[in-house]
Amino acid sequence: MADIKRPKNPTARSENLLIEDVAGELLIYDVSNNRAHCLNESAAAIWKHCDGSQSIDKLANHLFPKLEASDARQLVGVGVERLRRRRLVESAPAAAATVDLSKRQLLKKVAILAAAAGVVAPLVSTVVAPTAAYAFSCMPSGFPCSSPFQCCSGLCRDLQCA
Amino acid sequence: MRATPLVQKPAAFPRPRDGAGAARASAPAVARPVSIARSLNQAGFTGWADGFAFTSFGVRIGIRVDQPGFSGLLQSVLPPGHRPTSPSVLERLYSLVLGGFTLEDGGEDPYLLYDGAERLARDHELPRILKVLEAHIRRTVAEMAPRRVFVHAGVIEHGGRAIVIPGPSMSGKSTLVSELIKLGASYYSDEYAVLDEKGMVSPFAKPLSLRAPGTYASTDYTVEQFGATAGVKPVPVGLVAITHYAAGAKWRPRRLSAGNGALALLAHSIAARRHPERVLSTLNRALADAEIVKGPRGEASEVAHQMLEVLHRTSGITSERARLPFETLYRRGK
Repeated sequence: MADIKRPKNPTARSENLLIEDVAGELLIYDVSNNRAHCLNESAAAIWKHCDGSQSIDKLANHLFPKLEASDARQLVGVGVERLRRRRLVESAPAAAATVDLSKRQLLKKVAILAAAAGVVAPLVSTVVAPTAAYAFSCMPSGFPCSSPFQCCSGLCRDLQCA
Repeated sequence: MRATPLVQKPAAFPRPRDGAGAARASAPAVARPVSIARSLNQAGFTGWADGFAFTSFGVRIGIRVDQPGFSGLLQSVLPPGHRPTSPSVLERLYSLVLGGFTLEDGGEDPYLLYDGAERLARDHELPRILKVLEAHIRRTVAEMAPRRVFVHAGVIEHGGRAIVIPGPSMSGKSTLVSELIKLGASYYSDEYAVLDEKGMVSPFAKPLSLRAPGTYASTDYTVEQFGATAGVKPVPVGLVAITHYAAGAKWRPRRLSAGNGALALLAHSIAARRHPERVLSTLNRALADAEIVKGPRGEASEVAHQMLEVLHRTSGITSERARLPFETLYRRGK
């Protein structure tokens, strides 16, 4: 199996991305897979500082100086991991200690850390941009039709949407 | 009774079947927006009995038909805001081959509708074919409008600001819109929020399509049937309500950030993949001063009052107010 080389320090992707600043949050549209992401203020700050020159420790010190070093590292680690999974950041996968936690546990821990320090936990919301056909008005299965384009399924059989 | 051969799908554009041509179009029964004498010699109308071209939100569309005297009927399927245009350059050309004749084998000649060379529909009922044509034209406009972003949503205006209710088909947008206009709101659309480059929402006031509970067929209503009026000018977005009907639910929405609101609207934007850059920047402008809330709702008649109340309470919202908890800001009667 080919070994995939990833940068040691997290590096934000820049190609095929459309970026819009929305009141402190970042809207990022990934043209390569038609996914749109909303990065809250913390996630946006992490993403903007992922220039490949700073390790997670350095990022943590820089972005969350008021937090304990280990807490800040965990917060940044979670943020980078979320960005990495959405292909917005290239980096080595997070350390085992971070990924071993279940999603619910991790969310809870990070939220508590962030709230205690008066910062917002890094959050990334994602939607898949709809195809034009999906975004139009359409009729569900069983509805009468005269044309496939009327049906959400794109199939009109015996004058009924399949 | 007249027997005609069964129409075969053409290799390119469909052709008229029985010599219906320019000569028959010289005495049209109904006035058309564009001179047929001119249009028949342009844009592929030659050889067709009737045809015209129009533009809607910058999209130029032609319709041709193989029998004369149908222009009046076809006017009823045109989208809101259409204007006659020259048929010399068209983005879309629809062809309607009219059937309704008894064939030699006793069967009925079907009506056929084409979008370019692709057959869209085949049906023995003309009203159903016209419904398909009407919906497809609206879809074409929504997809191809050059300077607008169409979001699948219901829209009303009250007090100079719009409520935008995005959602998929069958989520109850039209029902909610009908209840809102009964309370005095202006009708903008039950299908599309049309956003311009400044983020203002323009009317797309097609007839309201309402479906009776438990039935398949929808019925179209004019806005006047609700004692309301349709909006005429672009207005800013005041409230985006992301909601869907859930039996027995009470509408207790939570506030979303502008970024997540933009994401929710993008998920219902027609041209999200085609013009993502334009969609992102337009949504950003549209939501600049808007409140965005999300949550399931119960009966539309109960929620409509609350929505108007929220719209008015958020008018001119300041950043200071925006930081208040949602419940503090919107609890009824306070």
